[in-house]
Amino acid sequence: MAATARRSLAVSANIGAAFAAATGGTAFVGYANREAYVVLTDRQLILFEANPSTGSPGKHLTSIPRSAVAVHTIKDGRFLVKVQLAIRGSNEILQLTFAPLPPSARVRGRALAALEGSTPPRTTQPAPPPRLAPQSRPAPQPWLAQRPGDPYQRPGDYYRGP
Amino acid sequence: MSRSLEEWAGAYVGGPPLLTGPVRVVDYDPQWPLLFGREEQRIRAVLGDTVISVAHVGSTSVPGLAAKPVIDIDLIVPSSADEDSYAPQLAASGYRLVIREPDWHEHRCLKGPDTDINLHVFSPGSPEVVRHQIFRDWLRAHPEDRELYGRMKKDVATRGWRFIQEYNNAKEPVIHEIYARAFAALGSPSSPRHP
Repeated sequence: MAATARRSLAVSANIGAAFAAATGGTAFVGYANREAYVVLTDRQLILFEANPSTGSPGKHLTSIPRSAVAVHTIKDGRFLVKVQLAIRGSNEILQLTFAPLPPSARVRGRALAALEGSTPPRTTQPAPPPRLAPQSRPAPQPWLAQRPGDPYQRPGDYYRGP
Repeated sequence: MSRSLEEWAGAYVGGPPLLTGPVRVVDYDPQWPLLFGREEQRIRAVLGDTVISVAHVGSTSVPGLAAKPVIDIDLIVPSSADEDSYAPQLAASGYRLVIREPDWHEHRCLKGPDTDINLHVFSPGSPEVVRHQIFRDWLRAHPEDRELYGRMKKDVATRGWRFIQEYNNAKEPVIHEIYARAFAALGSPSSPRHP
């Protein structure tokens, strides 16, 4: 059981920045340095807290409409992949840090960086030390604008299964 | 996910039912998808455009998995909290509201008029619906976890329980283990599907 938990936590993402926003009718509260599973469906980015004792996905932390999320910065470091997400309607950045092992965690981090509709500035510079406090977002980016036919307005929700 | 017996009991409309015998876990029955299909047709006929999606979830939706012969269904409506938009129509067709959980994703559960079902009602975007899909699809694709889960259910069912939630809670260690593997293995999110 312990091995399972360790393996599971290794592929989860660490939410490295607190944020607070009200986007699309969904209220977010601050989360700092939580281990979390990241599930990307065709509608939403969903975060489930990783249970510290079992390693399994536990409490639902938040759901963010995909149309409200855009990649701000990608830091593909030697060990960690850090993806900073800008949330429409928020002044904060959500930073997800993907662990180096297993390799699928980094793959997932890079896949997240390819969020539909995002045209982020990219960087491959070594990642700086993690900043735990909320980070102010730079000037608003045009790619944060609501796209026509917001998919979140359509019913249903699905992730890409195994 | 895990809830205490008190939380679970408090959600029951009219109080939780006591088990009158051992929990019955049986081998997979190919009739289960057909029973779901019949319920889906009936629900769509009763609710019409109020239905956003209907999905077969839970163990009876996994071919080859032993299960309690109860068909779990996730019904998505525009607002599960707005019972007036669906519950009276379903009640007129013999469905009965048994669980109301405003504090847990506005979840509602109804029993069916003839077939033994749990009709779970959620709103769009509910994370629980996604969680159910992930678990179902993982078990469909991974026979080793399907076998593990089936064996464990048969073992746990032989113990004496007062409430079904006690049986459910006893299954949780293995469920957590499988959930962890399923979530950890989620593939690239670049090709999403619709229900």
